[in-house]
Amino acid sequence: MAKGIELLEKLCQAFGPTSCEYDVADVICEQLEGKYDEHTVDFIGDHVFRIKGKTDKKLMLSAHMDEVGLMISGIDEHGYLHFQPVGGFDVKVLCGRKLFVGNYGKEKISGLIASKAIHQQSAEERGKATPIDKMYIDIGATSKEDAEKYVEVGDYAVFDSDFVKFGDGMIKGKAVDDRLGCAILCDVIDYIHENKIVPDFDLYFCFTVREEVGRSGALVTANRIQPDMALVLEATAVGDIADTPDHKRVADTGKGPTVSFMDNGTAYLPEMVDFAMGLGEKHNIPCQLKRYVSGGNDAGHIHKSSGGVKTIAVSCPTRYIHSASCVFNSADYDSMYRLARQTALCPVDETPVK
Amino acid sequence: MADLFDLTSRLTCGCSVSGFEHGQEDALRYIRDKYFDEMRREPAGSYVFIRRAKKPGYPRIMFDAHMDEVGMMVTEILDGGFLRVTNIGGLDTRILPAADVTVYGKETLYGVVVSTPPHLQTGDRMKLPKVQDMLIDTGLSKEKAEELIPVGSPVGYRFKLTRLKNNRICGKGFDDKICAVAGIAAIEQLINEGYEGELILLLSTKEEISRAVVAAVYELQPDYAIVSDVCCAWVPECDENAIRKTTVGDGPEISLSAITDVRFTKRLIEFAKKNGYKHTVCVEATSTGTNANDIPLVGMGIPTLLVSIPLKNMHTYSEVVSLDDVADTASLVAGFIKELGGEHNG
Repeated sequence: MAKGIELLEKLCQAFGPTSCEYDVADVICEQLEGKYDEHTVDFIGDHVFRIKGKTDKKLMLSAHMDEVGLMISGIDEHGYLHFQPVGGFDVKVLCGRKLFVGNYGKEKISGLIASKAIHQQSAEERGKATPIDKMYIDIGATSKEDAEKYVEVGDYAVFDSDFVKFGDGMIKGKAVDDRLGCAILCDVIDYIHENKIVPDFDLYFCFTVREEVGRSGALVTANRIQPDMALVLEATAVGDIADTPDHKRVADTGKGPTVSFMDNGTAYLPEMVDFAMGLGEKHNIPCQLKRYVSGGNDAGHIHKSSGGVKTIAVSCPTRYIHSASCVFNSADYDSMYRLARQTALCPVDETPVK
Repeated sequence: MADLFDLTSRLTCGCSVSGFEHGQEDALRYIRDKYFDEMRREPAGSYVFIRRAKKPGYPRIMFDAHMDEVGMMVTEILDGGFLRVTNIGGLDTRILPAADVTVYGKETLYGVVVSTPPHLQTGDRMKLPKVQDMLIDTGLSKEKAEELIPVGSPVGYRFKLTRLKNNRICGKGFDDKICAVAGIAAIEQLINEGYEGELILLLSTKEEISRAVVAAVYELQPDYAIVSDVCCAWVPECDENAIRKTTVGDGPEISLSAITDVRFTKRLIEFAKKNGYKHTVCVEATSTGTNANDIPLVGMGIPTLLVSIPLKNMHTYSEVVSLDDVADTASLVAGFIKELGGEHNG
């Protein structure tokens, strides 16, 4: 197993909702200290680590640091916090969840999304999810004034969920989307550094912000770097659950990372799909085509940036994504790491940008 | 005062799904060794703890809290190591998708309740599946799951106890083990104050499904029964004009009901008023929804009262109580037991 799983745990536990990715960036900067040629940060918080290559062809390897979260929108007379979602949630995974509430540079306090007890629900309410505007967060405060000692409007909340290895090589955690991509980028940098490799491509490892709201920092980064080719590392929702027909499973955990031919943001160039699948085949790395058009990621911005970029998205099949309990297979992490490494180290003339 | 957080942690960390309360034995032995002369398990599954009288003449007073909690049971093992389950007790399905659970098979295993991805959801997106249509992901192969998880194994919420502000805590199984904590704290206080009468703690089984408490009480035949359970705290989603608005932090709630014992309950209310104990009073005219419904009619009849601890998010893994309320309940119960003992003895 790639050693990155240990780092991934640290990254997943970090507090990093959209536009508050600072704690995540701190973990990454500490991890990468001294392993790159150049480190730049733009005005909205994207971090780019460059490892110079033999050629001037630029490869952007990208993963986003932010996670889905909640933003505190008000505090009521009883001391409960009201919120708006930051990122796409299935409302059904929110009720009852434990949270950390806070902000960058602030102590994170415990809370939970409160729910009227089943005994207090009417017949019509039972069996139905509670709409987001009817939920609220309980931190134990007794009044508005009391709550204001700890929280202010604009603070964030993220899931409080530990990192658990279970079953046959499965892992559960929050924020796997996309700290998993971040951990893999760090792993690839580590490998290049430890083996003193000078890659063919000029490599730009990009840790971006704001993916979960769609107004993505990856656009700023891509426009700045103007890469020749881009690899987006992501986590993608899959439905490989008992009772689900095969054509709706999207992909299967344990069979390697997915390569997308199309999602809701990008129709990928067939030559890029072939390149990624071919690289997997050549190096004996399990990968699979994503069998369903769903989701979207930073590739949507990157492929249209700076006059057009040949882009491919490689994703780790992840169950229950955007919940407190994202589940993935550690073998897929390993395969995805190897595929990312082989892409980074691929001679330019063996790629679609030759 | 006993360390309420520590006691809560010990009592709520193990398996105690109704009918499967065996995961608590470490905690039960700890309680026996610290406070009681004997502990026994009744045929129906309740645990009886007795601290024998040091002097004759005291009434036999029993404190009851139920030790079981809601959960699930495995009914089928499917491809990919997914489990089909059914509910034990009244589960709130709103908190289940993507929830962490513990599967108590031949080994204690982690599991997560399947949350159907949005692209697979059809029809009304706010509608929740029934528990019987939800699955649990064990991350195991079907073969391995079949080997480790016999059909019939219980599944419970995963334990995580969290401190909130203002001495409030959040966790699972507070219904009703937080009341057991209050009872134990009351007994510790009585011991420290040199109370010499017999004290019976009943940690009863299966309240959430069949109220098996009566089996144990039949044999015990106490002179008085003090039942403690949790009550649903008022929250802002409830009726703003509700008469009953007891909430977390208001102290113990004393229940007046025609089916417990009005005279006995009024003695407690008078005692609390006279001595300045923090409390509220509510009316549950013909049903308390607790063991206090059943205990009064055991044997020759038993004077029974119900004192409740307000709790939010009942039957979830994020139940919230105030440890101040627990301490206030313990003090009230201890004071009242002393008064009952003094009357008979004096």
